[in-house]
Amino acid sequence: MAQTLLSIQNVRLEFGTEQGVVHALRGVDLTIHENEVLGLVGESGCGKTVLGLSVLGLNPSPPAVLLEGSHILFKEKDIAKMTTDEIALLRGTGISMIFQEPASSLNPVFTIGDQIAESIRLRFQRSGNNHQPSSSAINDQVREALRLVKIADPERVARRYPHELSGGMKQRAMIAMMMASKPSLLIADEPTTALDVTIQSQILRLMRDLMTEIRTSILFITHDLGVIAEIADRVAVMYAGRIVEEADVNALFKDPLHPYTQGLLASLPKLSELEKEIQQLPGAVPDAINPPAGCSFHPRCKFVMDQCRTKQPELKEVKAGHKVACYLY
Amino acid sequence: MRLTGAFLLRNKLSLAGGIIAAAYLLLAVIVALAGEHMLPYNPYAQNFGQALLPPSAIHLFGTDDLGRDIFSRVIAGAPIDAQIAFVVVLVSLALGGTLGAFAGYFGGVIEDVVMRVTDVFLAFPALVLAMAVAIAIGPGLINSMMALLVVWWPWYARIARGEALAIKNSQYMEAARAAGLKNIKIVTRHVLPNTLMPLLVYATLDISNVILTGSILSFIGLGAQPPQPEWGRMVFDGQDYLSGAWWMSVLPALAIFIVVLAFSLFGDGLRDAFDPKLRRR
Amino acid sequence: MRGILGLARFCLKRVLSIIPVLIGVTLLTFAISRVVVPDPARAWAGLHASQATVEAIANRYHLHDPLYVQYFYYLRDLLSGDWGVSPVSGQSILENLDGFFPATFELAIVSIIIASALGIPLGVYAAVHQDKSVDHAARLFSLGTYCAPPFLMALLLQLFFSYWIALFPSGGRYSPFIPMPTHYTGLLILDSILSGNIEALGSALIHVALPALSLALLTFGLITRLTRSSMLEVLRQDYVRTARAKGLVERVVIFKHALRNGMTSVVTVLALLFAFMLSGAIVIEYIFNWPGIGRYAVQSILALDLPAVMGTTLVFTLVVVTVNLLADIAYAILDPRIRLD
Repeated sequence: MAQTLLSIQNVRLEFGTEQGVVHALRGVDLTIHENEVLGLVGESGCGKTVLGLSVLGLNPSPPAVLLEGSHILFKEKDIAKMTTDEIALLRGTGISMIFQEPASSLNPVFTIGDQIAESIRLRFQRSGNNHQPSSSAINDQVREALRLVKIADPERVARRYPHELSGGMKQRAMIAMMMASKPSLLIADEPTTALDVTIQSQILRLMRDLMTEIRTSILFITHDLGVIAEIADRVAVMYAGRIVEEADVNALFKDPLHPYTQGLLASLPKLSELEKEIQQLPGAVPDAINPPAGCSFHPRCKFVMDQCRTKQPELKEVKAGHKVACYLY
Repeated sequence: MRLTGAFLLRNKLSLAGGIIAAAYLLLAVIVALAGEHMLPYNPYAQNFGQALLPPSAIHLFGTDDLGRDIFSRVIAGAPIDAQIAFVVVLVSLALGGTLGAFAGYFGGVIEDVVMRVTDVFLAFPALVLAMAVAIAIGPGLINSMMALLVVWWPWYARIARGEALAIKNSQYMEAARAAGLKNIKIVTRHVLPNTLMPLLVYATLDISNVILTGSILSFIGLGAQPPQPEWGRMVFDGQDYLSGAWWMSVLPALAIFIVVLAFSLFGDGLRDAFDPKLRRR
Repeated sequence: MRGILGLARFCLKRVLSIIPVLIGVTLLTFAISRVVVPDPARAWAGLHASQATVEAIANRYHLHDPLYVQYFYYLRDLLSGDWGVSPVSGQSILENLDGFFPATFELAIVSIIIASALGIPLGVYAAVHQDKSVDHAARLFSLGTYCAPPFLMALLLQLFFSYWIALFPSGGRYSPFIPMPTHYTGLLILDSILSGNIEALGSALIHVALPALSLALLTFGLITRLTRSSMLEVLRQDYVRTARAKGLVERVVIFKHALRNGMTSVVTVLALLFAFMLSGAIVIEYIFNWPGIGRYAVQSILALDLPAVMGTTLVFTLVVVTVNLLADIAYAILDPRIRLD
């Protein structure tokens, strides 16, 4: 049985805005094990990015408030209870994060090499070494990091500035930078969404390879089911701030249990059924300020029952390794 | 909630600034119309026996080296800077703004020429150019006003050109052209008003700059000439007596400061109110 | 390697682009000196000069010739270093300007150092603690110092720290009783340090204190305001979030990643500030009897010495144009994205 790396329990998070309180996360339960890729899939607005940022404490804190009873356990420590300085110690070497837009996420005034070197130096500092490695040792490691992400000419690229690289190269550089500190968990928030489809599959393959080489788990956040199918070992489906289904990737695609998952999969166009009309999920994503009572999906669900309108269903394991939050089961 | 508080605080200051600025203008108008009769003392009356007296109940701001009551002189001098500032700003807005609007709307050679010319004018620090022009045409109040006009118009030309460019490319202009309106009509009916209105906000902030520069010009001898009670000139006259009679220089200087600050605060608030990004419900 | 070539190309382009502006500047000063002035011959000869002298001056400066001819000689004289002789003092204007320049330069440098040392940290602090009471106080204070007329600060400082509490001298650049340090640069502070002369250093510092503080107070408000708005902009950027996600300490995030990006706009604005500062220097030098170009300008105005005033106008403008050019180049050094243009 694989070891648990990160355990997210009953995480609830709200934002205070002028229009009202936004309930971004409404009781999320999720577990990530060592050496696995967990895909987190959902439409925009479901809270998946907020969840990713919450693990690292990167949600801007005056508006965002993590509610009592939320637990984010990483290596026996609860991130939800830590101060910003304590979380900072975890970032980089424990948990790392890459973002959707590499163009704006890399600092424009420092070279790629400089930015990767920062991560390397941080790793050295934290591993308890008393002396700093020499700059040539660091340069070697920078080149190694770039080679690891399959960049052809690491020497040259290390001296470049971000704006001189293509989108795919920037994302590789970002991955190199975040992996250089050898984290146990990498959170990837839509890393391929801004890239070309061909580059996309290259990056996905790269990430899987890195995962096995460096033994890093990945929490892969995306709205694209195709990407999930390619990279994930297990999948969690998120809707309106909660996890509604969680399963092994094959099991999810073959036998989706939750009506929302079924709707999502049905709305994917299939090459083998070109004549069929594309099925749409009726209705729209619920308002995060005033979510519906009971199960948030009930206004759009064709199997809706009375208890769905009043009480939220718990996420329960109904088959081996397959959890769902629905009164149908 | 914190943001609304900040806005209100800034608003309160702007409001205070606006009130003081309005009071100053009211005072200036009253003095300009009613003359010196309403003042406690004649601002020009010299009285050597009463020279260099510190502030007291009978001379609120003390007296200067010639025995003149400084408080009366400060009040009497209020309209001077106000008149200069308003004339300079309004004329620069009208002339410079119109020129800039034409340049922006018609583009081409006109725009190039106007941009090059304003580039040259704006290369000079404002005070330095004003100094040069003022000394060339001679010291004096009207002359300093003209010198300031020469320095100030390019700013408005530049800003107006930018606004006109934006309007020119806007959809509502396309509609006007499609409707067959002649160019000159377009410019006078539509472009000019829409260009010059935003400039008015900038102009309010600018009044404080003109008052400041104008008072410095008078300080270095190029503006109002004695015995006119212009505040900058009064500061200059009092320098030699600073150690013994600080009120001669410091009080008029404080008066300038308060008026400039008031107009700045008010202009700041006005600008924030018009800026869609900063407006919160 | 590529970066440096791009930088060199950028510098060349910028230098070439200021040439038309400089020509325009000389045209404007020419126009003011010869066209706006009602009687240029008398203005250059001196108000009390004899008719014969006036005629001689008119011939020397070709004042009877058409304007374009006059401009040609004007430009030629400027470029060859003949900026005329002051009708009031009888001295070469360029020599005077040359003599007074180091004092103004020294004053400006010390002021900018003080203003930046105060303004930049305060601006960063205000941005990081946005909308808290410190932020409001900082903004109000900055606005206040920007609006204060330069003579107010100077006179108040002189009053408090020179007359009432005799801490600093009320004027001058150097004590008449202490021998000057050996001349290396003309900047007394630097020269005293270079010649190891502590007494001279003390005298130089104590004399520059009040003028530099007055000038610094004038501009420090602007620096605070601009650093604050620049930092606010930067702190919202994605790469700041990335820096935190990497595990860097907050202090490094702000002072290395954020500030470095914020500095680019601050540098450009420091250049604009320079023009503002020079205008303030004119008044402050006069009040503190500081032997710089500003004081020379005011004395010339009071003496109605038109040629000298035109000379100072040119110098001030040339300095401002040069500083702006340097700021553009500094911006390109700080922000590699600009070099590609």
